Amino acid sequence: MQGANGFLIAAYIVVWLGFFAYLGWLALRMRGVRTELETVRALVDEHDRDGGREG
Amino acid sequence: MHVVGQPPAAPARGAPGLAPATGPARALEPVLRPLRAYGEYILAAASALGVILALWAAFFYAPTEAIQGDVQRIEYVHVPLAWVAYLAFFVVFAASILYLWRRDERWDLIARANAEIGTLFTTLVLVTGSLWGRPVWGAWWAWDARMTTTLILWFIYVGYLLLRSYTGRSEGGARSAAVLGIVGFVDVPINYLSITWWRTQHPAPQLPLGGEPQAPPAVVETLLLALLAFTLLYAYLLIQVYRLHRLQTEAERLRARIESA
Amino acid sequence: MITMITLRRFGAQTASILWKDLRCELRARQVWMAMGMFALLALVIFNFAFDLRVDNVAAVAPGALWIAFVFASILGLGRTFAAEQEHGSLDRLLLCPVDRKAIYAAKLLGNLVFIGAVELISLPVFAAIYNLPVLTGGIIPIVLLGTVGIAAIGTLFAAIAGNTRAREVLLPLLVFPLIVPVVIGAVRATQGLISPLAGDLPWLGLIAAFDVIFLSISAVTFAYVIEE
Repeated sequence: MQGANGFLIAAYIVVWLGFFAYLGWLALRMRGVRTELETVRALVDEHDRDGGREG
Repeated sequence: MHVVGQPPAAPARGAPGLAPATGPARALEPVLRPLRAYGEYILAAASALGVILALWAAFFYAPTEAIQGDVQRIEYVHVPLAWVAYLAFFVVFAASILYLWRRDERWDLIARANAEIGTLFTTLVLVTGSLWGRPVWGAWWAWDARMTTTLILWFIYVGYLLLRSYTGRSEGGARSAAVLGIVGFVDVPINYLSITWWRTQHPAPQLPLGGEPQAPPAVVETLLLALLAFTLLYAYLLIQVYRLHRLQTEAERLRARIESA
Repeated sequence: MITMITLRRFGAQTASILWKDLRCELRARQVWMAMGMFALLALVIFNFAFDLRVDNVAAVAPGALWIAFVFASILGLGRTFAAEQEHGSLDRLLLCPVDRKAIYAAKLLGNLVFIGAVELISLPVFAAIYNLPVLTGGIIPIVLLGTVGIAAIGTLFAAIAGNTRAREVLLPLLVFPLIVPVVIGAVRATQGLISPLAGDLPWLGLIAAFDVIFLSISAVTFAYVIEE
């Protein structure tokens, strides 16, 4: 069963690669949503100021 | 149960992640405050340490299996992954019920985050199972009952994520997804019991629920350590994914407010 | 006393929605004609696909029969709320003081009628072209229980998929994995009918158990799906 060790190493590599790929994707989405949130908050502030001037 | 014409309770919009402590929890405030501030880092450190220890135990502490050889060490990642996947899907089920009952948006976000993590872990379970099956059974895939039901479980929760992506962040979509989260979970106990219903190649559990362990102590200790490490890792991931979904919902809501004005 | 009145009202509501749907769908004859043709076509295609001979037909045929049933059912199930969606009349129906379970029951019964009609046509054709002795009394409970399981989940998810943009794509993706236990039970029970095995599992009981689980969960959760 010595030839089987390739499968053992492959399994652990796949798990950790998959896991870190997911973490990376998560970080990307997190960065995207933070930028989006900043943009939208700026827009809301602008919008509220305009609304305040009219009213 | 459902009353016609009764307006649904208003969901907690933009609710903070954790409510401030009230009542008896106030006395524990000196302990809770640093825990709330640094808890995430403590959890991250604990899960990293746990995973490193579990890796060490899997390769150097656990004995080499007599028949399969070293390849059996896949077990120490395969079984914990499966456990976390079951746990995540159970949380989807429970949070879905709570969402339909209490109409608190946070339950919906918890269900959503768990479905994502559970699907990831089920994918890894299928891959590691395949990589273990090839050298031991001589086949990547055996259409064995346990494998087939796990694959079906994977399809159900990929369907769940697809449904969520199609319905967006509407309340109706959240209710539909909650119903799928409840119905879909029926498959999990079937999955667990299936190895006793059909002829199967999949080994019986070494740590049966409420029974005596069926393995040498070093194997059991390694398994338990790995289970603990992966559960901590799951908790850490859950916090991250939950936060992501909370921010996404908030951003989408703000954008909708601007665009409707 | 009160439960009797509630039950009678429930029955009346179910019957009136069912009757409206049946009249509507009978006029839309194309749909159930298409379902029947689809089932027959699937049976014929399987015959080519598996290169059936006398020695393997008994093993393959029950699976082919149930796949044909499931695919044809999905065609019909997608139509469950078609009339309401075309006329936007679901909102009006929800405004009426109708028990949500009565709506579910009516839609489920409607689906059972159409799927049942399709099965009634395809079964003799199946028995003839696969040359198998399935037209016995034993097939009735298998087909009945299997169809109830498929329709119970299918009706619930027709409402869920109907709320989305991709209704036709999503419905089979959500329904197929969930009904797998019922389909397995039905296929094995049909196999047992053709060539009885000693010590086989009580597949009929298994299907019945899933029917009860699926029906009760669907009846309870349906209200949340169609709620506006």
